[in-house]
Formats: sequence, structure tokens, C-alpha cells
Amino acid sequence: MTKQTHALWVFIEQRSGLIQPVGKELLSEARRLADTADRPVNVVAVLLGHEMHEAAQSLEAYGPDEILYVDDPRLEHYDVFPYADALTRLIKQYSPTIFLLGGSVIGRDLAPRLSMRLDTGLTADATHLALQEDADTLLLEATRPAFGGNLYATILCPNTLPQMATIRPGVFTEVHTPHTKAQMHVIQFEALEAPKVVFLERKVKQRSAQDIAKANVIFSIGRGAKASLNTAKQVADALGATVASSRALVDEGVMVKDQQVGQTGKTIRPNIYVALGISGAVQHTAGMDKAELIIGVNTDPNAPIFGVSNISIVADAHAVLEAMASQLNAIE
Amino acid sequence: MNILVLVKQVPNTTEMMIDKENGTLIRAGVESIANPDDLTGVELALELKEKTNGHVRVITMGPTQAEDMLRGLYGMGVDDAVLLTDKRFAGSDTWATSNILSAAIKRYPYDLIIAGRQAIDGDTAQVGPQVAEALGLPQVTYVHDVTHYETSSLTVIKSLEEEKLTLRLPLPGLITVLSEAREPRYLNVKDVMTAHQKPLETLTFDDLDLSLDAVGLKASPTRVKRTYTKEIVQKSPVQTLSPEDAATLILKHVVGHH
Ligand SMILES: Cc1cc2nc3c(=O)[nH]c(=O)nc-3n(C[C@H](O)[C@H](O)[C@H](O)COP(=O)(O)OP(=O)(O)OC[C@H]3O[C@@H](n4cnc5c(N)ncnc54)[C@H](O)[C@@H]3O)c2cc1C
Ligand SMILES: Nc1ncnc2c1ncn2[C@@H]1O[C@H](COP(=O)(O)O)[C@@H](O)[C@H]1O
Repeated sequence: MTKQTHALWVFIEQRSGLIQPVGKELLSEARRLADTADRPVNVVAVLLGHEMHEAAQSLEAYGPDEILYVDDPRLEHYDVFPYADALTRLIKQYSPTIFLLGGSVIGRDLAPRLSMRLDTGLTADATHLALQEDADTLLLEATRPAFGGNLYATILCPNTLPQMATIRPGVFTEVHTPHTKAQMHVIQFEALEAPKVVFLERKVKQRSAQDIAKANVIFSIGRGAKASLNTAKQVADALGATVASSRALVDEGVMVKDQQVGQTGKTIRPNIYVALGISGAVQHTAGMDKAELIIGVNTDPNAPIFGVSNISIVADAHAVLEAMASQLNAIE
Repeated sequence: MNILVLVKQVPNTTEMMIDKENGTLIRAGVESIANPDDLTGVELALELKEKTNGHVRVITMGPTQAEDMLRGLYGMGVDDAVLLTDKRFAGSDTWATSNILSAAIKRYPYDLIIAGRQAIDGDTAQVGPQVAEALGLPQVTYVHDVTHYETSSLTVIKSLEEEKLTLRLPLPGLITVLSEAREPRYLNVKDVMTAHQKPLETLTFDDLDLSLDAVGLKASPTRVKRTYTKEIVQKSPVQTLSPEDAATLILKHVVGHH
């Protein structure tokens, strides 16, 4: 790898030796971006782990030009010190232009720390990426919904490298690139920084509800339907559907964060998404506009949710949920 | 135990409106609040203070209006409040903000720093880890509970997507906390009465060991290239239906689809 070529790096997150989907999603998007550029842009998958050579090789399927795999016992499980250290050394050595990381709990622990260590800019939770090519610069345009309402902001990091951004899991889709060959570099470092936090215990979270990211049918409740949350849960149960919500209900404490749809919640692609009493702020639609069929129910005919709805119904969500409950009762 | 809590004043985002003409935020008349995750941080700090006979200092960077918020925090029982305010700080991104906050932190004794997981106005969740890095401290982010403390460490539960980890953080260290961790306490009458008499420490750029290329809009590595709104074009004809017809229509699509 020469320093002159622009390199677009993707952090490949692994947990217990398993590559997480978000890394493959970002790698697929990085491939797509690189292919839009006029100049050569090298897509590089960066994996930190221990005894993961095969998994590293399997990343080839998502189209990187190169794979950097750092093997070290200290990298087996994520800890911010050895991880930030290994990445800093790699970045100093190879000078990538752009570095994308998943916006998972791990990515959001690591990326800010790294950006500070490297004194460079980091954009959080981008939902759209593009490249801007100038004479000798290659800039990442990271777009995210900004602050309330219907506003988007495109953010650049023009003067420092690498230009960093995090992207939430589920925003991009995995794309297999058949028959690609990637150049593999296995790297070892001397004495990586030691973890400072001590691990004591691990518990699998009790599922408070079904995983909204895996559900086929979602009934999603917003502030306008809050009082009918229980009816919605009954209706969803009867139909084998899953209840999710806007951030408004999470902020009010009636739903848990795991069930929040949107830019800072989960990005989901169910077959059917029924939005009840949800206004449709861009932060919300960023997480659901790729659903196959969207049904919006809102009392306001001008609600932005109708901008993404395949079926747009002006009605009182409470009454609609009641009517669904009684129609379902009548069937039984 | 000396505890520093980073508290940001944020607009109540649920009330934000956009000026449809020029796509900018209408800030006038929007209520400012203390960021919810940060109030949970204050609550945790006050609990630790009670258990360890400790001291709680809150630090905020923002315009002078943040004074009211700091007085409110005195009303919850914090011991000291620091306001970092300077025109030269305006427009700081998270990198510059973290430079400013960490320069201020260096002036005080601390065992533990608590930040919110994220501020609701930007939801970046970057400032906590960036401050930890600037100060060379260990960190645990997404803290869901603090279960145990000793003079040299804190035991916390970190919440990940599908699991919870119990971790021991050596002190001095930094945690970022989730609002689920604690319900912040109400103001107490005695502290509210004395809140307005308590001194507020106000610091500017000149009080901090910082260079101009570490603060403010110009020094910030990220730039907003442009902001824009997307016109909402209705994707399907809007139909006004009776609840019964709406229910039937929805059920027609959903039934048998799982
Ligand atoms: C940085 C940032 C990140 C954010 N991330 C997210 C995110 O990830 N997910 C998210 O959802 N939000 C997010 N938000 C918040 C988002 O901007 C909106 O404030 C939020 O989605 C609004 O929730 P809502 O639609 O339920 O409530 P509201 O905006 O209050 O809308 C309620 C709707 O219900 C309708 N209504 C009222 N009564 C009825 C009735 N009887 N029947 C039918 N309809 C009725 C109203 O017409 C209105 O459209 C974020 C905001 C910021 C600033
Ligand atoms: N201007 C500020 N003043 C004090 N604390 C801040 C400020 N900005 C961010 N923080 C802290 O950093 C956390 C994360 O903020 P953010 O990175 O903006 O999401 C907040 O919850 C605060 O604890």
C-alpha cells in the first residue's frame, strides 16, 4: 500500500471471534463509494482480534481491496486501550483518508477516543455517505439528520486525517461481491497498551420484548397514540406482530430504548410497518423508510409520515386500535 | 470522593421547530433544560457523595444563560458549579468542546468524572470518551448502574446491545451514564433557598491553559458544509377513513403475514 493512493478504511467489529453484521454493511457501502470515484480508492477492511485468520479472509466476499488483520491476544475481546493503540499505530503507518466505524456500543466507545488521540473530526450516526473529489483531496460527505424537524446536515472534515464517521447498524445493506481477491496483511505489534478496566461478569440481557430488528410486522406507537399502548400490545400479540415506538415514548419512559426506531434507535426493514400517531420526523423515518409496506395513521393530513407511507390514513389512532381489537375479537 | 459531573444545557428538542422559509431552527421561545442523561449523572454523584462523604462539582460550557441551570443543580444538592463561557468557545464541535472541558477539569481535584451518555440536541455521545482520552483516563461508557465503590475503584454495569457487563473501573476514571440508571431527585427546599446565594465560578478562555487553535468554530475539525430540508411529497393519496374501515384495511394487509 502506498501513501499516495487514497484509502477508505472500515473497522470490522468482532465479538467473541464473530464478525458483526455492521462491519460487512459498511464494507459493502465503502465498495460502492469507492466505485463512484474517478480516482483509485482502496477499500481496506481492518480487523482486530486473535486467531481469526479464516474470518479475516472471509471478508473478501464484501469487496475490499485489502484486509489488514492485527492478531494479538490483547485484541481478542474489545477494550478501548489496546484497540485505540493498535488502530493509532496502523493509521500512523498507512495514513488512510477516511475511516468508517459502526455506531454500535463498541464503535461509540472507540471512535471518539480515537478521534481525540488523532486530533481529527468525527461525525456521529451518518445516514448517507458520498465522496467529494477535488484536485488532490478526497472528502467524505457525511450526512445526518440534524436537530429536530426536517433538517439534514452534510458534515465534512476538510483539514485533518483520517476523516472519521460512525454509522448505525442496519443503515446500509450487506452486498456480496463475487470473485474478488483481496490482499491480506497479517500484522503483529509489540506490547500493545494493556486494558485498565477489569472484566468481572457477563450476563445476557433478558429480552424485554421481541427484537424489533427481526420482526416481520411492526406496530409502532408515537406520542399521538401513547394512551393506547396497551391496546396496541394486545392487537400485536394477537397478530404475532411486534410493538416499537418513536423516541418520544422512550423519553417519557413508557418504552425502552431497545424498542426505539430511528437514527439513534434501531434501523429496521420489516415487511409491514404501521406507524400510529407518529409525526414522521426525519430522525424517525431514517430508521424505517426501507420497510416494504408502510401504513401511516395520523389525525393530521399534512403529517410528514405520509411522505414515506404507502398507505396514508387520516384517522384517530386510538379509535383505529380499538376497532382492530374488536374486529379481532369477533374473528375469535 | 471528589466527583465532577459534566452537564450540558440543551433546548427541549421535542419542541424544536424549523423555519419553513429558510430551513433554520427557530430557537426563540424554546425552553432550555439540563440534558436528561446528565441529570442522572448528578443523581449518581450525589448518592456517591452521601456514601463517601464526598464532594460534587458540576461543570458546564455554554452561554451565560446556563447560570439558571446551574442554580437548579445547587437546588439538587451539588457543592460547586463552574460555568465555562467565552465568545471564543462558540461553534465548538465535540473535539473542541472536549479540549475546553478537559482543560477546566485539570484545575480541580477528582476521583471520578461523570458525563451523560449523550446530549439530546446532537446525540453524538462523543464528549465523554473524548474527555477521558484528553485526560488519559480509563472509561466505561453506557453505564446502567453503579453497584459498588472503593477508594481506588468503582464497580459498574455496562449495557451493551444484548448483554450486560459488570466491570471494575480503576480511579481516577470516567463513566458515561444512561438515564435509565437513576431517576434524578427533586430539588430540596433547603438547597433551593440557598442556591441563589451560592457563588458560581465563571471561567473564560484566559483562565484555561489552552491555545486558540484548540477551541471554537475555526479550530473545530468538522465543518457543516450545508444544511437542507427535504420537501415532503406525499407518497400515496391521503384517505380519511372511519376507525372501522381503517382497522379493516390494516388487518387485511397484516393478517397472515408472519
Ligand atoms: C439528535 C436527535 C436524534 C433523534 N433520534 C430519534 C430516533 O432515533 N427516533 C425517533 O423516533 N425520534 C428521534 N428524535 C426525535 C424526533 O425528532 C421527534 O421528536 C420524534 O420522533 C417525535 O415523536 P412522535 O412522532 O411520536 O411525537 P410527535 O412529534 O409529538 O408527533 C405526534 C403525532 O401524532 C399525531 N396525533 C396526535 N393525536 C393523534 C391521534 N389521536 N391519532 C393519530 N395521530 C395523532 C400528531 O398529528 C403528530 O403527528 C431525535 C431527535 C434528535 C434531535
Ligand atoms: N457544553 C458542554 N458542557 C458540559 N458538558 C458537556 C457539554 N457538551 C457535552 N457534554 C457532556 O458530554 C456528554 C455527551 O455529549 P454529546 O457528545 O454532545 O452527546 C453530555 O451528556 C455531557 O455530560
